[in-house]
Order: sequence, then C-alpha cells, then structure tokens
Amino acid sequence: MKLKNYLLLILPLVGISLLFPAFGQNSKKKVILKGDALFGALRARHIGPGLMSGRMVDLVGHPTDSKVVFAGAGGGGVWMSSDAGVTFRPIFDDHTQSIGALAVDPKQPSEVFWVGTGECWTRNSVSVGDGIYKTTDGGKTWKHKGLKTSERISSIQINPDNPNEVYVAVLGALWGDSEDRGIYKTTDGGGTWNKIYYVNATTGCSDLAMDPNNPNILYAAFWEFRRTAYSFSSGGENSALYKSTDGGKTWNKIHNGFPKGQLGRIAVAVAPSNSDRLYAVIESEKNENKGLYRSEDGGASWTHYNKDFEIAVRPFYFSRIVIDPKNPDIICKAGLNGSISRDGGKTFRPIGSGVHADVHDFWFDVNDSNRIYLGCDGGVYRSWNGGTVWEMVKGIPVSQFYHVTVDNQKPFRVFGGLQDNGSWVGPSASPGGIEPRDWQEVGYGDGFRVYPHPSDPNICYSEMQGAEAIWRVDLSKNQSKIIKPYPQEGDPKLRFNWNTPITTSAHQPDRLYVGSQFVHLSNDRGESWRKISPDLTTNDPTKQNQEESGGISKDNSGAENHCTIFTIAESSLDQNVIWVGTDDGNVQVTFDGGKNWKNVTANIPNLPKNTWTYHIEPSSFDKNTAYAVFDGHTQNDGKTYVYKTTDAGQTWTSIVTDDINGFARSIQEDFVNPNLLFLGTEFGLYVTIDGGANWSKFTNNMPAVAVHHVTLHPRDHALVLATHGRGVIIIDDITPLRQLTNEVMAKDVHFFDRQPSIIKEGSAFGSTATYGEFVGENPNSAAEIVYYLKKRHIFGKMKLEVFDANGKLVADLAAGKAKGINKVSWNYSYPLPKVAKAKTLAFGGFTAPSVPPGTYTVKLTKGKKVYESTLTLVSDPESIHTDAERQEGHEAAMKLYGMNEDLAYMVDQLDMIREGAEKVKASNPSKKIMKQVEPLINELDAMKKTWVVTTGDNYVGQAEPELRERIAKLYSEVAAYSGKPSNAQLESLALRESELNQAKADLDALMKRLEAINQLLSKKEMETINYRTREEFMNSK
Amino acid sequence: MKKSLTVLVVLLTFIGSFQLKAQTAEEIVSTYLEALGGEENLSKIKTLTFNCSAKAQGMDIPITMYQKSPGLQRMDMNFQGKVITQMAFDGKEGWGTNFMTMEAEKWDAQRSAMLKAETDFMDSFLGWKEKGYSISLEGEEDIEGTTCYKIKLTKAPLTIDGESVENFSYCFFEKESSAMIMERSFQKEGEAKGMVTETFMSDYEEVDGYIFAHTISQKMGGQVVFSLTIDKIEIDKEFGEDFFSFPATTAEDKK
Repeated sequence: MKLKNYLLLILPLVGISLLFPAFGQNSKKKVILKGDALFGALRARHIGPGLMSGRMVDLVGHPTDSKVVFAGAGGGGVWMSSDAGVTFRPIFDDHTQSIGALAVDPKQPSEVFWVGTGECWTRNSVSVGDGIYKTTDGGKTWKHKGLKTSERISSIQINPDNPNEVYVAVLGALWGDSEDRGIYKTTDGGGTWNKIYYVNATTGCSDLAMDPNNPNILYAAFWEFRRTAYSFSSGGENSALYKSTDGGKTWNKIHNGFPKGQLGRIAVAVAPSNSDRLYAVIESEKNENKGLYRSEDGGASWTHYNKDFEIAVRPFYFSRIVIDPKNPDIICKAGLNGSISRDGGKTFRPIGSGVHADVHDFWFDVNDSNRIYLGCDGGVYRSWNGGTVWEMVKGIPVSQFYHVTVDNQKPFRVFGGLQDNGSWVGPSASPGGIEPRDWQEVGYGDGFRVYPHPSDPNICYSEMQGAEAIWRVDLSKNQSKIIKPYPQEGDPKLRFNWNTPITTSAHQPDRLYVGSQFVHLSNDRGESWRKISPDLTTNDPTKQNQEESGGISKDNSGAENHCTIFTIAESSLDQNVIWVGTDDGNVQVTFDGGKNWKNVTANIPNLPKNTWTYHIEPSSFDKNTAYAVFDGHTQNDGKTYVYKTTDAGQTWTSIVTDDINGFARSIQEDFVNPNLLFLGTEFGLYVTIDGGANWSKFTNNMPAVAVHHVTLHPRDHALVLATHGRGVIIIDDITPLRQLTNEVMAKDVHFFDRQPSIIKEGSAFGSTATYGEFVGENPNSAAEIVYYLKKRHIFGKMKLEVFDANGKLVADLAAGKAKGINKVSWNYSYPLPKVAKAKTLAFGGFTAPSVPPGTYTVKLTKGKKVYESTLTLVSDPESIHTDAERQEGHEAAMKLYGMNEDLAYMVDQLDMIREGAEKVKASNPSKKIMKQVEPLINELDAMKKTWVVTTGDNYVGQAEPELRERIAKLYSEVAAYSGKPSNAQLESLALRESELNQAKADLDALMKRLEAINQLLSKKEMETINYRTREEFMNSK
Repeated sequence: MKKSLTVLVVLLTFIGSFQLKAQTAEEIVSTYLEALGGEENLSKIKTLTFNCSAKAQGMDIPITMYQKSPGLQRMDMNFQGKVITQMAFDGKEGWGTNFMTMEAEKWDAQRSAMLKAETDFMDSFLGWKEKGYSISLEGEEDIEGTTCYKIKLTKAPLTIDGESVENFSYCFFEKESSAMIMERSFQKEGEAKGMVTETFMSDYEEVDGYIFAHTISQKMGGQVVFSLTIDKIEIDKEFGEDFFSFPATTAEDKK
C-alpha cells in the first residue's frame, strides 16, 4: 500500500480527533464550565426605568470639543455624550460602577481619560471603588492603573504641560481606618504611584484642585470622617486645607481667615480665569462661620462670604464648587437644590425649578458659559441660559433599586424602590418597548421594598425611608393609605431600618409582615397589626444614639437607625416557619408562627460578630433548608458571606468560593433545580449550577453593577435583578441552566427541553418615546431553539432548519455557533412569498404569515452529523380568537400567499416569453412568423400592464395598483391579523381570485398561441420561445 | 475524494497550526493567512463574488456581494425579482439605491472617504504591512467561552466631522487553530458612534484551494442583528468596466 493510501485512512481519524479534542472523553468525568462557556447566549436585558435616572456624582467635558461630555454615576458607571448631551452611552460597563472622579487628558482629550472609582458623596448606601482606570482609545478599552485598595477617589488632576504627571486624591475607606488615604502622584502616566501626602488613617483627601496656570500649585482638602452602621461622623482636628507650590513635595495649611475649632468637609476651587481667586466651602462647628470663603491671594488669606442654607447644607453630600471658566464671579454650588452666584459669592440664587433635588456637580460648556450641565440624584440636566431653565437628559437609566418583586400578570410586572426616587411599578414587556409612560409611581421619598398583593392585581404595598410611611396602594384607582404599625401600649419606640423589611405571605393572601425590632403581622392588608416576636435584635443601646449622629454638623435622617430587623422570610412550604435577619447580625427562626423564636447566629462558623444579615432565602424544596447572606461592609469587611443550613439553622456551611468578588446582598434559589443559585454582589451577578461548589460571573450585557436583590419569576423563569445603579435587569428564561447536568455538558450537542412556544398575537401599535429617551428592551417574542455545544463550531457547514409535520422545510435559520448555550430565534413564520416582478416593489409582499400551531422538527446539521429535536408551537392563550377563527384567517392568508406566488410565476412566464419573442423578432424571421410574434408581444405587454404596475415609484409617484398590488395589499392585511378576516376582506378575496382566474385563462389562451408559434419555429429549425417550469422559478433566487 | 482530502489537509493546517506555538502577532496573523491559502496565493486573487442569504428580522434575502482588488465593492439585494444595489464603491465614491425612487444616489463625501481609507479586498490582514497597518498582540480573551488571541489592527486615522479619529479594531483568533472567529469594531460616526459591533466568522470551508468563512454574523449588545450565509463563492469572475461605478441608470435598467 502506498503511503498516500495510508494517509487517506489515517487522516480522517486524526482530523476528527483534532477537531474534537474531547473525543473519547469519559462523560463521567466532572465537567466544569465557567463564564461564557457556561452561560452562552443567555443575555441580560435592561428595562430601566430611565425616567428618573439616578445619582450623578461627577461631570467633565472635553477641553476643546464642547460636544463631548462625560457623566460619572454613583452606582451606574460612566456615560459619554458626543452630541452635547442629547444622548449618552455607557463606556465603563466591565468595571465597578461606583464612580468617584473623572478627568480628561488636556493634550489628548479625544483619546485619553481617567476614571477614579468609588463614590465620594458618602451616604449610607454608597458603593465602593477599586482604584483608577485609564483609556487611551477614547473609552473603547480600559486599563486598571493601580490604587486597587483606595476605595474612593475624589479628584484627578493632570498637568496640562505633561499629562504623564497626574495627581490623585484618595478619600479612602468610609467604614474603617485606611492607610491608603492621601494624595498620590504618578510621573509615568499611571505606571507607578507615590503617596506624596498623608495625614492619618481617619483623614482622607476629599478635594484637590490644580492652578490651571501653574501645575506646580495645588490645593488639597483633607477630611476626617467615619461611618458605622449606626452613626456618621464628619469633622475633627485633622480636617484642613493645604497648598503646595512645588508639585506636591511640600504642603502647608492655608487657614488664615478660616473658623477656629474643628473643621469638617471642605470644597476648594481655583478660578480658571484668575489663579489668585479661590473659593472654599467650609463645614465648621459654629453656624455663623460655616459656608463660603473667598481668597484673592491664592489662599494666603480668606474672607467669609456666605452661610446660606444651600451653601452650608450637608457637607458630606454637597461639597462642590464649580467656577465659570471665563468669569471668576460666577460660581455654582452643589446643594439640596443647588445655587448660583454671579457676584463672586456675595449672594446666591437657587438654580431653576424642575431639577431633581440633591445636586452634586456642574460643568460649564467650554465655549459658552450659558450652557451648563448639572448632575444630581435625578441624573444629568442641561441649561442653555446660564442655569435658569433646565431640561433633563432622559436616556441615562442609572436608577438605584434596593429591591424588586414580581407579580403574575401577563406580562409580569416588576415592583421596586429607589434611592431618592420613590417606588415604582412597571411591566416587563410593553408594545414597542418599556417606556417612561409605562411606569406608575407608588411611593415617594426613598423607596425600598414594594410587594404586590399575592392575589389582588390592583393592590401593592410600598414604603419610604425608616417606615415613615408604609402604603397600601390601589393601582387601578391610584389611591394610597398609610398602614404602618404603631407602638402599642407598653411598647418601646419602634426602630425601623432606613430600608424597612416588608413582605407578603405565600399562604395567606391578605397577610403582611413588617419588621421594626419586632416582627409585626397583619392579616387584613395592614389595617390592624400584632407583634409576633420579642425584640429580635441585639438591642445594643450604644448603637441607638442617632440624634447625635453627623459629627460637627448634625445629620439625623434616619439612615443610621440600627438594631432593627432587616429581612423577614416566610417559608413557601410552611407558613409557621419564618426566618428573620437583623442589621446587627442576628439570625432568628420560628417554626410555630412566632410563638417561639430561636437565635441561631452562634451556629454560623467564621462569621464576624454583628455582620449585617442582609437576606435569608428559605428553600422551596425543604423547610429546614435556608440560605443566609451577610454583608460586612459597614464593619469595613468586604468579604463574601453566604451560608446554607439544612437543619433549621443548627449548622451552617459556607458556599463561597474564590470565584466570587465583592460582598453579597441577596441569593435566589431556583424553583426546580436546588443546585442552581443566583447571587447578587457589589460587583455583579454570580451563578452556580452545582450548589455553590463553583460560581461564575454573568457578563453578557450585564455591567459590573451592584446587585442588591435577586428574584426569580416562577411562571416565566425570568431572573429579575434590582441593581443599584442600572435599574432593573432581567435575564429571561434561565431554564437551560436547570438542565446543564454533567451528562449534558459532556455531549457534543444537546437540545434543551423547552416548554411550548407561544405564537404571540398583538397590536403593532405602541412606542411614543422620542429620540434620546431610554426605552427598556422587551423580551424576545420569537420561538427559541436552545442547544448546547461542547465546542465552538468553526470549520465546515452548520445548518439549523425547521420542518413541519409533513417534512416540508419551513425555516432555514442562522445557527448559533458558540461554546455553551446557544439560543436561536425563529419568528414562527413561513418564508416571504414569491411576488411578481414589476417596476416597483409590492410592500404587501414583505409580510410572512405565521405557521400554524403544532410540533415542528428542528434539524441541526454539523458537518456530516445531524441532530434532531422538536419544537412545539401553541396559540396565544391570551388570544381574542377562537381556533376556528384563527384557522379561517390562516386559510385566507395562505390562499392569498398562493395567489401571490401564482401570479409571480405567471409574470415570470410572460417576461421569459417576451424575451424569447424579442429574440425571434431580432433574428429577422419570415413575414409569416413576424406576423404572429409582433401581436404576441403587444398582447403580452397589454396583459402585463393589468397584472403588475409598470410605471411609477415606491412613494408618492406610485402608479395605480394592478392585480399584483391588489393581491399583495389584501394579503398583507389578512396575514398580519391572527383571527378571522372581515367579511369585506373575504369578499375582496373572492374578487381578487376571480381576477386572477381570468388572468390565468388569458395566459392559457396565449400559451396555445405560443404553442402554434413554436411549432412554426421548430419547422423552420429556429430556436423556440421557452419559459421555465414553476419548480425552476420557485427555486431561483 | 480529492476535494475532501484537500479540505481536510487545509483544515488540518488550520487546526494543527497552534502547535507551531505562534506567539507574536505577526506569527499568528501569518499562520492565519497561511491557513487561508498562503499570502502569495491569496494576493493573486483579483475578484470575489459571494452569493449569500442575509437573515435579518425574520427575512431571508438573497444577496450578492462583489469585491475587486484593491477595495472596490458592491452589494446587490434581490427583492421580488428586482436586483437593487444596496451599496457600491468604485474606489472613489460610494452609492446606493433610494428605495422610494429606485434610483442610484451617491453617498455623502465623508462616507466615501471613510470607505476609501479603510476598505480592504478580501481580508484586512492580507498585505497589512504594505498597506501601512500595524498589528499588536493584546493578550488573550475568551470570546463566547473560547480562548482567543486578541490582536489589535490599526489603520491610518480617519477624518470624521473634521476631526482626526483613530481607526482600529480587535481581531480574535481561536488559540487552538488560529482561525479568526470575531472582529470587534467601533462605530465611528452617526447616531451609533462609539457603539461596539462584533462580527463573528464561522463555517470555514474550502473553495478552489482557499479557505473562506461561509457564515458571518453581527452582534450588538450581545444580540444577533444580522447573519449572512454564503452559498457560493466565485473567484476571479470578470466584471464590466463600470460595474462598481455610479450608474447613469439604475441597476435594474442596466440589467
């Protein structure tokens, strides 16, 4: 045997084994998939809402191109506009979404910019950062440039003469000491950093300004501050304002004219048009000397100018001054409502009305100071007239949800509350997308938990901060009633958390639970309450002095209320099993509806004392099983704590692995596969399919945003996430994850079992959103074919086809080729009909009728292998049509479909005959032949003119419709409707049918004459006039 | 048999190439081009005709794409038997058909200039050095679960709205085979400016001794927006002189 022949034998085997390295692998071996290899085509969709946007913390613009503006969100990443703020798009989704400071490179402003992470407006719900990032390609890709443990970056200043020299202010940790605080400098564009100034572990750099005319001159504000879960402290001996004149080598306090005593947070700014003019806003001990100070000598001396409420209010939240780049007397001050001075700080006026409260930053257009951008708790606003009138940017969905629930409506609705933006109910799908008009407000203030009544779709419960109000809302009548529990006789003061737990019962529809330090229960929708527990907290009196909170400025908003119940969870298997978690670290459980409670906290191994019990998830498989998630970040502990008990809390096992990044807040167990769990952490969503042995981060269209709460829709299998910065995010249909067993993952190809797909019926109307407004994405309404590929398909053909029960090919789809789960959509429609060729297009022909309900065969051809599955389509259960009506509509549509194709072939015949006849004519035939061919051509032309349009265009120059256009129009109208056609349509159909029959008869008569002509041509040994068969025509493209 | 053997050998070149330990950007790209048929052979090809089906929004539209070296191109769509030139570029200016009038209309000057600056015949990497492009290996990245080499391909900057804009994309070569499976590019103008487009290539098959991807899919935001299945590829088909030029009459009339 020749070598070549051996090769022929061996090569295919080698080829196959190389193509499939796992060939012959033992399927019993444990297959572990992570990341995209596990999730494949599962994809998150964002539904916002964007109508209230969310907290914007820092704004910057391009130094020469005023169309380019950047906005950093408290929890929603970085957004960029290239059109002067009409639209913004996110450019930082792969990284932590908590933003502290942004900066644009002065020399390469279109390419290089910096993001310092970690919000510095240090409210109780603030998230954390993980250092500084830089892009050198206009935000397309980002590189982490260090300061990983800085937690909060308050300012980035770049030397305009040498952009490799950058100063970074690190405010640092909020909940504990940190030696990472201070001022850092790089001279190599972020390659290395030197800490050039440090005060102590409790005092961070809260603001940094560079003299725009001398990069060696810097001003730095240092702030002594601390939060605990139960207190806030602003100010101390170490808060101060410093100046350096030597590029940060030495720093000196510049307090000449400042108030004596302890200082708090200080804001500082240098006028771009006058380096000697500085402004500082100072938090001080005494009311009379806090507020705005001004210096005319570069900080050598200061004069007190203003102590108005808006100037001095809540320094930890509003210490920001922004100066007009051209006029040193025009300054904007952040505040509850924000204010502007046009006389150098002597007097201020409030900025225009209509702007959301809590203003954090401003940006002046570089070319026109009348154009100002503003960032607040309600997003970004633009003013065109110097800050008197403002318009909101409606396309930045950075809403900060604390919690989300779902109901059982079709489509299901989502309910949730937002940081400083009330409580809302909205649909998970809406015609044309989920728009601002689809959302209904069901609470104001800060919103947290909103629960739908389990059986009454008109009722939901909502709340505002610290249970100042708990409402029962009638959604249809838009009525609300306050139904919160009050202390009963002999009760101590009720302690409600800022984010008070409310929950409903799976067993008693009118039942409602609310937690203070006690569990309160109502069985009449909140009309009356009884306590079913003792104080379940540690009741530590040292953690209950909130009226003293705030440091040198009192700040008792209720945000620091402590020793409260934070989570209440009734078992779906037994209404007497209720789990309770408290913010001071207790886990308590009752198995008799509240008669007896057991504190099981001590049974949890390796959990630091008093770690906040954030969420308890009772298992839906076993009433002794539950999951508990603890959040230690308010004790300066960023570790992940997730435990499982299977013995009613007697023992607990950690299910955390190194795969998880960030402290966790919420876990959701799947309702079908107990090993499938979803975990929300500070940096995103994690999923395990093996009960916690391995976790993977979900990233497909999912930003690295804090996920505060996770819920799963029991009917639609949609995972719904309350993100604290990017609104509600949904991952539809997680059922493939349930089926990913080791056996499945070892197969080359596996089709997942699917529930029957619904042939959706609905109106095409909807969508009123205007350009730039955020519109939430709808779920995919097409049928989905879902399969697993062990390996990415790269070489050779891969086809995915759908056949009907008769084996007829009805769809040829673009197959998904990815490793892992693939989802291919099929719009359950036939291919478009063949439509007769004419001068213009018959737009009616671009309608494809739905296939009828039934079982279809799906064939996936991969090289020589064919894999088969089935797909079942059912009628829309919400349909307004009977089966008979639907059938009548389908038959009419298919009749018209056939008529389109009949006429298309007839016209093809005409065209080909005409072409043949013209050829004969051109061949200079005998007079006898000519006498027959010429009238034939004329007749063809006359016939065609009545069949299809032969003049005009596709718009207002269109010709009067001929038979083709009449059939196609009627066809599109009938085929686009799922039910019975109107009587008028059926009459019209009969008329079109008779017209078509007449045309067919005319063609038959013409064909007879053609036959005679062809005989004549044959006799003369000339080429006959031919046309193609219908089959040839149908197979042509 | 001969054909299938050829296919197999070429595929093996592809699949086996990773064993050559291609580590630098140049080596990866060179392995890739070698597997496609070899740079020298590929550069002999002067025209390509792709007969395809485009799948978008539930429709299956017959499309023919024509390419001529160095960067001429044209795409015809077939709607209801009518051939409509959706876009064409003759090396200087681009044009397309207005669907209302069915007449040819020229593209705006900026779009034409962009096409001129960045349109490649067949493959961006073919003759990349001569074309003045630069490539760099940016590490590895998992693309839909498959580990790939990430190569940055940089072309000369473009002028958009009067400003010079960087022009680069990232190309991902499956580590195991060096086959390019995805290109990540960024919209450079218009409403979608800055948005990421991911173009996936698969179904590599042999045509007359060369290897071509036979399926091209585009995703935005993780969602397939467009997919093209190539049924037939013709190499070095002759085109008329003015095949790519802006016509005095419509494509239909011409036909």
